[in-house]
Amino acid sequence: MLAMTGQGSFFGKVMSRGAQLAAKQIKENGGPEFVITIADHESGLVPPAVTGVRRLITQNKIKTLQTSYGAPSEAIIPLVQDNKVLTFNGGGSSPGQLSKDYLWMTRMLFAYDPTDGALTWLAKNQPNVKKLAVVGTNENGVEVWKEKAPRIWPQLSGGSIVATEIHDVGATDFAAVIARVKAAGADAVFTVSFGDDLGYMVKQFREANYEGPIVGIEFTDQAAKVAGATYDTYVFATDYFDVESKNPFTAQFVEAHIAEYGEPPEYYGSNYYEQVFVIWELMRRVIANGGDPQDSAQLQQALIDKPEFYSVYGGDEGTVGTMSFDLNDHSISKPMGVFGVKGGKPYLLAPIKKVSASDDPASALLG
Amino acid sequence: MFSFQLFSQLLVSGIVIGSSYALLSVSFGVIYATTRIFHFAHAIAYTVASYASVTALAKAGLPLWLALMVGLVVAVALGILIELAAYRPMRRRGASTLALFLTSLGLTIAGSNLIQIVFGPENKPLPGFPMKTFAVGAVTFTNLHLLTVIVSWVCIFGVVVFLKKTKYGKATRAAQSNQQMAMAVGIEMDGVSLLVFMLGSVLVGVSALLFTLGGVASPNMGLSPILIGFIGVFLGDRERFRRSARRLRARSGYLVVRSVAEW
Amino acid sequence: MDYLADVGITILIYIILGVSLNLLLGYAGQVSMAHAVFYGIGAYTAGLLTLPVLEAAEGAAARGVTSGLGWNWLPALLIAVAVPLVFAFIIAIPAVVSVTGEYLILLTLAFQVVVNQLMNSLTTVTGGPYGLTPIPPFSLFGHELSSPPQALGFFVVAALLAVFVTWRIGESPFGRLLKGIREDEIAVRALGKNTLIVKVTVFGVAAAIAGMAGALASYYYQFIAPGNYSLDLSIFVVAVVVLGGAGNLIGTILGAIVLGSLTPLLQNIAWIGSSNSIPWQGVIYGVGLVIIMRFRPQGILPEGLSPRWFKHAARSASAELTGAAPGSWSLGVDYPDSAETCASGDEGDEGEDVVRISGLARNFGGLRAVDGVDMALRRGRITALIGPNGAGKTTIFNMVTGELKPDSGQVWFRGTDVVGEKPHKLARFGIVRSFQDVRVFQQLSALENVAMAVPGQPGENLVRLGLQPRRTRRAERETRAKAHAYLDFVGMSEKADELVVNLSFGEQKLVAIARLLATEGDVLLLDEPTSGIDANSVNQVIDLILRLCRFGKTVCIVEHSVHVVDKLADHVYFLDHGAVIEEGTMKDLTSRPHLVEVYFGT
Repeated sequence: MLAMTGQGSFFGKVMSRGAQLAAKQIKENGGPEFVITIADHESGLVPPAVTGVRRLITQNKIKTLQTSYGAPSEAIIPLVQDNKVLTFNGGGSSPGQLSKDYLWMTRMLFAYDPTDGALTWLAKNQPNVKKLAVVGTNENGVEVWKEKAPRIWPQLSGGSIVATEIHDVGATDFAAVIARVKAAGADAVFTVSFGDDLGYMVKQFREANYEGPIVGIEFTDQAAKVAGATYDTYVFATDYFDVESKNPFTAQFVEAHIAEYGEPPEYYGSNYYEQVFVIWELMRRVIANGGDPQDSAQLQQALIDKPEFYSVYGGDEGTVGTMSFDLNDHSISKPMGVFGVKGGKPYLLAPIKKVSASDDPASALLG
Repeated sequence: MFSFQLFSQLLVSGIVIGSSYALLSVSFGVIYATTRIFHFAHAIAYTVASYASVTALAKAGLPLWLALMVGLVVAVALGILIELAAYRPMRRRGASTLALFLTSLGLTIAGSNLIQIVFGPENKPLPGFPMKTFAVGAVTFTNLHLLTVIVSWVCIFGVVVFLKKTKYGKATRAAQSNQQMAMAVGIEMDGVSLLVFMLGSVLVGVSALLFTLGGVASPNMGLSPILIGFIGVFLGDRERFRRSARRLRARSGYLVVRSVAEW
Repeated sequence: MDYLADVGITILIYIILGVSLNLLLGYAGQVSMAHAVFYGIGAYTAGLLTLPVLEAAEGAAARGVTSGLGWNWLPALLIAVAVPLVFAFIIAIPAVVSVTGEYLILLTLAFQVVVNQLMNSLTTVTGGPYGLTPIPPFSLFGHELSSPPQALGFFVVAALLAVFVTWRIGESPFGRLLKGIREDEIAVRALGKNTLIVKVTVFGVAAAIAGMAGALASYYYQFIAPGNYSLDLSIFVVAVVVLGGAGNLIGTILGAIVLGSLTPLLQNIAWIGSSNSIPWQGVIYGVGLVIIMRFRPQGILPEGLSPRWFKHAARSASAELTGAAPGSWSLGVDYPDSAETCASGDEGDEGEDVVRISGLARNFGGLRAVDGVDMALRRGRITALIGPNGAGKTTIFNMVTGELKPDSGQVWFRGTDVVGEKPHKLARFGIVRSFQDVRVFQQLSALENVAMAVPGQPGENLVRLGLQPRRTRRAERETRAKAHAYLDFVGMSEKADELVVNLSFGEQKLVAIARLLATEGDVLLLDEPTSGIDANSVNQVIDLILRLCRFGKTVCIVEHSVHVVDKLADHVYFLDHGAVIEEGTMKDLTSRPHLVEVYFGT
């Protein structure tokens, strides 16, 4: 269930490509034939999402579902639970989707998970930065600008949050935000904004001669196109998908993607690609135990029995990356890092990890 | 706490964005005042202008200024096409304001989806503008901002002068104040309508290209600017577009209000 | 099964939204682009009332989930109907007072965009972009009914209710007023009807019904998010109404079924349902809209047209309403059968000055259209205003009936200064007018034209329409009987059921006179009652006017025909450049050489 039309149709396109490529590869290698049917939630609307998933369940008899976006994914939770449809979300993971039976995240919790690492990196590498401005939206990452950043930034740096700016999703003009951040005298900006907004924001900050670091939690090629050269001054922390990775699983994926679509995959597409492999792996495990691979309950049980899977994230030459689900809240642990950008392409600055609220946030920064 | 720096920065930003809003409103208003059509499909002219320039630059390899011209020409061609193929036959059959509005909405919905089908949902940048930042004290603005303000107001005053001084402009104004009377004195409504569609489409094209120089083209980019244009016309002058002086005053008021509100 | 029920629910929601908007758009001609917002206000109201009460600590967890009041869905539904009503009043009052026609589109568009934006940004109330969840589902006797087939029943009931209510309103005297407002609001006001209240009321009703749909949808989806109430939906509902046929409720139902099943149908067609083709669905919807507007702008079922079975039902209903057989209608007043002159009727009785005008003046820009006019309209006498074009005659009518405010001067009606009163008030006092350009309601039948003018109809009040169905039905029978009688009086009873647009101009003038009489006004201001009609009809009109005057009406005419004035007028005012130059009988005036020269000519 993806955003095939509307503002987010880019995401729908890359996610569906990822899933379809995986299905094709599995079939070509003698695996089962996955029939992928797509419903459109029109970039985040609830009624088409609910109707679409009902159609998938009753007309297309789906057993597993790949969903995206926050609001529509939350809205269909009762549906997938009642009908026992094993569901994965690799797009808009939100706290409201945590710990729900039959729903599993294959993406870090948006903004929440990488914030510790991002702010620790900022405090360590830019010790002069004390006064921090936080920019975000009301849609995603709310708990970060409301609660997490104000809580951990003083611990990490001894500084304070001097401005919290909220803008509309889809904004292209950040003049007012920038003016207020500058007026507050912020040494650096931490943003949990996402999508193209981020590109416009970074570009306009730089065009307004703002020289402090700008640290975010997302990177997309789309936003990089918006920001152009100014994106090279941007730093972000995320479970970034690295096209250059030597992980053999990743390398063949990138190659196949280029062969199929003429361009390398990106972050969101890769999540939906590896989800299909997770499902296939679950089916094989169920078959191996003499179970019914068409039974979602058995598939989920197989996941719970061993929540570790191969991943196109992490790994290195000769080693396939792995990821594992958290059985308590159904979230995922994937390798994360702080990245810089050069020539519009990200490069790793430092690996980071997820830490729980009771741990020292500074322990998120590895190495 | 009053910060003079913040206030002046917001005022400058307000003038920049207000100018582009004013241009959008005028581009929409000049069509609306004459034809009484809520030309929602203006959003498609906006989008198409950007995509045409992007394509001319990236695919045909034209220089930037020529690519921009291509964008304007395509926007005007689309405006003319919509008027001739959709609105004019309907007007001849005595279609209601609402029927024309829905036609326009239908064109917009079909158009933005077609653009997505043809160009894909990805962002398309229009690179090559030599961006520079100026600083006056702590207040900053870019050469694109400056260009936006200047071009917007040159276009707006151009329209006002055109309406006031030229033969065609006078015919348009006559048609705006009283269609029956204008027809009685021999003004061709069809000709005037075509004229305002060309005029409005040029202006919306300018507006779109100014935006795309600092951003990207995307299939749904035209929707929110056109809503701003709608509301601008509504706020600017509820009765008659021809009272341009009053409109301009209302605009300037709008700019100040906006800057203050954001501050 | 679940899927089909779900599609059915979607269509039923469109039907409820469509019929309610049709009342506003099709009947009253008021285009609203904000219907989705009222739908949303209903949903948020219901959501906030029914969401469970959360402990503060629990609520503060996971991204500030909004706490509700924990109401049962049914009482919440009632409030969810009332709240949009209040919002509609707030927006409608300034909108319908100061804004007409196409600007209403802009205003409601702005309202739609702004409120939808607020749903996004007022996070503490609305839950922001993620909205409110989980709204408790429908329940009966402690059983939750959350599956689509179970919920379908509620929507069927709600849709039936909405269709019934809108049909009842649309076909009532109130609905007749709505159509009148759509056709010509000034003419409706001139009949003594307060169009403002009617417009605000219909705005409220449409919003309330939309609010009901919003509440029910929130119980079904158990989720409220701002994206559901966007401009796209408002546009879609307008498309449903226009596609089906504005002013036709059956058409709206068909429109909702066609458009509502479009997406599911396309999705289930293999080649177009595939992922790469999803944008094509938008193209088909958009192009379809354009084609329909181009080739069938009146919609599937235009107003007045219905499938046969429905027409049959409607006819038997209207027969029931009309009740009495032709011939038994009576005006309840005895107009004289014929009259040669008016004044001769009450000889010796000078009659009172019913209307006295003193020092009336009005400027248009620099032009003094009316410049200190004094005159008196006497009962039982026909007064004529004559003079060249632009002398200010019609402007005087406009000021006496309240359409225009004079700059200075008074209008005394039976001893009270009535300057500044609203047109409908003056019409109710008994000062009524006809228009030079007749201003009959073109798309209504002759009977409906006249029936609209009958004063004091209980069916024009929605509360009484709802609470006293029998009484209003009886009153409507009487109203129609009266209207028939008035049409009979002007010799138009044969054409009672014809649409006025199909009548000749002369016939339209007669309908306009019948309509004027039906107001039961005592002071009749007739603006060029015989212009533009054939000689035969002229004599008919002259005869009518004489009979009316003889009956005791106070008549004032503006006329250009010397012949007509000569036959009718007992007293003539000659106006030029906004001032009375001469007055007297026609004989007096024609004997004055300077008037003969400039006006009567040869």
